[in-house]
Amino acid sequence: MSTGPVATESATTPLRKDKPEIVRERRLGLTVRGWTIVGALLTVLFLELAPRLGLVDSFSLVPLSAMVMRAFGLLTDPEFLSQDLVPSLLSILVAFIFAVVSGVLIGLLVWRFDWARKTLDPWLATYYAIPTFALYPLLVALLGIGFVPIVLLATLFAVVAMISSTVDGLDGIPRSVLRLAAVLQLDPFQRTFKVLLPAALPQISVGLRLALSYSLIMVLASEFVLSTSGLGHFISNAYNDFAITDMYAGVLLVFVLALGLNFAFAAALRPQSKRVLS
Amino acid sequence: MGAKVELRDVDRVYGDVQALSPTNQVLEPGTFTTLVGPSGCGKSTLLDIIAGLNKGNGGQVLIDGSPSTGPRRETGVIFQEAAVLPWRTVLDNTAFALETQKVPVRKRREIAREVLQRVGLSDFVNHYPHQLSGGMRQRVAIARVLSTDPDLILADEPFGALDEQTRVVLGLELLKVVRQGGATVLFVTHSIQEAALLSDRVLVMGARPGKILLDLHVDLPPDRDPTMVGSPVATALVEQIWTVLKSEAQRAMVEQGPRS
Repeated sequence: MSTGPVATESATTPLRKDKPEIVRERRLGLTVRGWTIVGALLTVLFLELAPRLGLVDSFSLVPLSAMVMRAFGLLTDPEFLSQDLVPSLLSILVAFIFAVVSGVLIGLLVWRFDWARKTLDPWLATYYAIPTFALYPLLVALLGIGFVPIVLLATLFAVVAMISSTVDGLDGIPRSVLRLAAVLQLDPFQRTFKVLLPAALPQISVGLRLALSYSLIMVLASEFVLSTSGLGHFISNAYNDFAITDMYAGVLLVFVLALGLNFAFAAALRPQSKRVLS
Repeated sequence: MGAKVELRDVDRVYGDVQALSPTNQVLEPGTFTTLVGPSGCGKSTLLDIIAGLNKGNGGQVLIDGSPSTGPRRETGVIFQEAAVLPWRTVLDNTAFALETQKVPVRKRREIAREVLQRVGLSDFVNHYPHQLSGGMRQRVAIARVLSTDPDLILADEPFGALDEQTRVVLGLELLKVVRQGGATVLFVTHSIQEAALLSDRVLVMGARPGKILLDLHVDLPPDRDPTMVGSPVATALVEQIWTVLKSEAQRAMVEQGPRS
């Protein structure tokens, strides 16, 4: 058995990419991660001690422990959950789903049809230079305040990230893969769902994370001015009422929400990102 | 038996460039034919026309006696870069062609395992393409083509990106597996040695306008091995092809001029 396929493996050995070794370089006795933790601890310590020691007056900042206690209090308060947290989460979710579905569809059209690309390209290139939020007076005039204009603004803000990342992903598909789809005579449905979208997924997943962040930012910002409910409204309301602990508890919840969603997303998409050919 | 593929006055023009001048050829069933020539001579265009991926300007392609209208299921195409899907395992890449033809999961995986064994990838069934070398990825692509049991295999410089040894080894493996299945093969390459070693017949193409200059029979036994590259028959053949291609290549370089 010296000429069979087995013997040829030396010429075509699989390149198993093991995890690259993490460089544990130390700076002033600590690893990079060590310094990150030190930084976080110092921030926590400052937020706790500065108001207690009188470095910052208690109307500007409350101790972190008070914020955390109040945040837990809010999470067990049915009125806060139904009036503020759930409406915000719902708006974010709806805006995110709208942005993803329409963004991917428009992305497919832009990639497939030259006229669509030529029409939309200037818009896509300049879109994020325009402060979408400046449209809010117009939306108030057209749609009033509440759920609809908030979701619309957030969708508008997030959709372009989805379009751009979808088009980038589709543009990056190797020619041989597209020719494979042609040779196998895939119908448009198979072509889209079995070849195009999975092949573009690594870039699309970048767009997904951006779209989620953009939806969250825009929903909360809009709730400050366009709503009588929601987490954003809760924060601005607390601010107006000088309910500083409530306000910080709300801000803290927003931070935790944003970080949590982002980490959950990154974790869910990680297995995909490895399956990319270099 | 009639011809597997018959080309009648097939040609292709891009702008004012005659990529392929009217060509008449017949591929007999079960034969391994290589199309060799300098880059840009229209060999890939000819292959694409037979694959149904490109329409010629004139003439007709007959496959099994009936005119070709586009890609057909019984034709397998192997591309230069391995057309593997990075999000699928070796097994599911191999089963992909059958999947698109709605073959049930169990059945298509069984077939995929069997062809993967034939191309020597049994131990890598659950690997992803990024864990494989370029040569192994191309074997996955070959396995996928074999999975549908094609009667015509068109290969467009499939081993062009690989090193010399891997190329010879994979070429001979391909020859072996297609001999077992009895498929007709048209194999495009720019390697003269590869052409001589693998095929029953070599078509030598020249550029501008792309046309077939020589039609050579390879007088080697049907079972090939790497040492045959050095045999008198192969050496003479390589020399004969070289003589024609050398003057062609020089002419093409002069005519194309510096590329911007």
